[in-house]
Amino acid sequence: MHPRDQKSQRICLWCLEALYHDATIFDLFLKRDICCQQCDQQLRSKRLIFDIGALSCEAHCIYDVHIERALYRLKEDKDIAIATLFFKHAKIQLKRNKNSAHVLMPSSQDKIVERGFDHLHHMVKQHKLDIVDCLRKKDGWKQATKSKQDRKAIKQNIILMETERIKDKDVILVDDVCTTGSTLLTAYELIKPHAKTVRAVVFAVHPIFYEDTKRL
Amino acid sequence: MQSCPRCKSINQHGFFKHQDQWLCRFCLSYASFIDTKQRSREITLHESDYGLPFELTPYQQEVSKQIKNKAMHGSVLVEAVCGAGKTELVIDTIGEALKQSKKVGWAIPRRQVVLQLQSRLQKIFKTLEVIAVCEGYTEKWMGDLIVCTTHQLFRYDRYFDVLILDEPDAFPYKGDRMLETFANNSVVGNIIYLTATPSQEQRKLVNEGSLQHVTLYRRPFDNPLPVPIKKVSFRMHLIFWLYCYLKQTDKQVMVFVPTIRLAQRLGRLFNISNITSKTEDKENLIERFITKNEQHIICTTVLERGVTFSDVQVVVLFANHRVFDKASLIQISGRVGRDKNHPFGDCYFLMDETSKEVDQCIQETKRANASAFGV
Repeated sequence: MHPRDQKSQRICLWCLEALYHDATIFDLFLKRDICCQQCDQQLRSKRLIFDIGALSCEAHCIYDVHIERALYRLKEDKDIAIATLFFKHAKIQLKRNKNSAHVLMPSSQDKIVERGFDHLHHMVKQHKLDIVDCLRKKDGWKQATKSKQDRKAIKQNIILMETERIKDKDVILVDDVCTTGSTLLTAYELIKPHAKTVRAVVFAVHPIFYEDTKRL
Repeated sequence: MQSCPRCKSINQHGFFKHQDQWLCRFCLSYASFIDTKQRSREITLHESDYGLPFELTPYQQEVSKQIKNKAMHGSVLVEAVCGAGKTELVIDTIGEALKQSKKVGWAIPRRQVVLQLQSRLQKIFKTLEVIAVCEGYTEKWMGDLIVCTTHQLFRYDRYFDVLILDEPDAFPYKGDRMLETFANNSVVGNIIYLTATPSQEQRKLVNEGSLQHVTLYRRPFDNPLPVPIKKVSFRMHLIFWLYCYLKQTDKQVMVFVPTIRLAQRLGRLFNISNITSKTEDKENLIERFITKNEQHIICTTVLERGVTFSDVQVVVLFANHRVFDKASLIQISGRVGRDKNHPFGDCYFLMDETSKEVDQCIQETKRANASAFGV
């Protein structure tokens, strides 16, 4: 019977199948809360370290068709319930200390208004980060729709709104997907003169870009 | 929220609240595809603007008239055997509805059939815009006559006056409450179900009188349906029998097997091409089989419906496997004798143990023949 047709059947937040649909004997000793075993494995961080110029980056996983579909569900279908799963296992990477500040890569304002929420905020909400919204995108600029060449023009389209709250701090840049690194690099160049250290944490990185930039 | 109005989900864990609105996660993705900008146009259709390129048989004409009359008063279940010409039976009903400026849709569970059907209906209704709406063809979803997959019905909330639901017993529509809800929500008028294998629920509705019933157990060429021949033996013997049969026959044979793995293994063993859902060049292989460039073919239930081959014999290996239910076996045996020039053929069910589904399929076939011919 499909989980849709069972009133109290707990479901996996990611795949919407029954929570224990892939249960093994070990599940007798484990309590699953939000994800089935397969999805939990997929979401575990693979700690992919790479560098964009002087910016040290860490990604959770490789960007593939499943991640693309999940992000589409969150951003276009507005399935906000799935948001907390993306950085579920990223507590260590996003670790904060007294001197840290987290800067989320900006979405365009009209997209935020259309969706009704900023997806990155919801993705990291569970970790109670010290978020500093100091970057803004100029209206009408949609990075995801641009070609590789045009993405470099993001430099003219992101502006740094304030520096007070990032001054002399350990800044962690957070983004959902790193495709060409243009957005992160622009943010790094804007923030570096003011911050003590800057590093980046992304959920997924494009496989070709990762191959070109990974730390050996 | 007790249940979702769009997909009828009752799972409380699937609902969540966002901005003071309850949303259902199971069908959330469908909501974002609704495009309210496309509109239908007013059409004018005359009797002379459409027509089949051939004459229907007297039985088909009678059934077609019955469907046209009954569809005015309620939903209709059209039970017609495989190869009886179900598509042609409803053309007059569609024409009549369109002449009255009603909105007509044709929904079918399988994507590849949508494209074939759109092409056929466009040739019949030359002055109208007949559009196909399915995966890969979703930019334009408004037309004079809409042919779509059952998944795409979510776009047409309370839209159709007449909906023809072809093969409601086929995957993925069968047993999927969400798709059934999409279909019911898309219609303000009546639904015409076309099938060779009605479900228990449909038969129950017919018995209760809430669904009108029209039957046609006769193929256009007046040939009875091939009655499958059972062969029960142990596995190795069945495979050996099959090998000998394929070697000695000069006709084309479709060998149905229950699993993809068996299709691939048997294909390698017998050196025969196989078609499964995982085969990449399916269309090419089907084309080669149609043009007689392939003598035999091994396939799974992916070819049990929607394909017409001339002068083909059918063997179902391990017909007692749970994959082959009564409806599936009836559809498979219906691949035989679909050509006017070759109205007969062999159909074998090879089993390593007896099966209720096989016996029911054979009984059903004999019953249909008895109704049509009294044999």
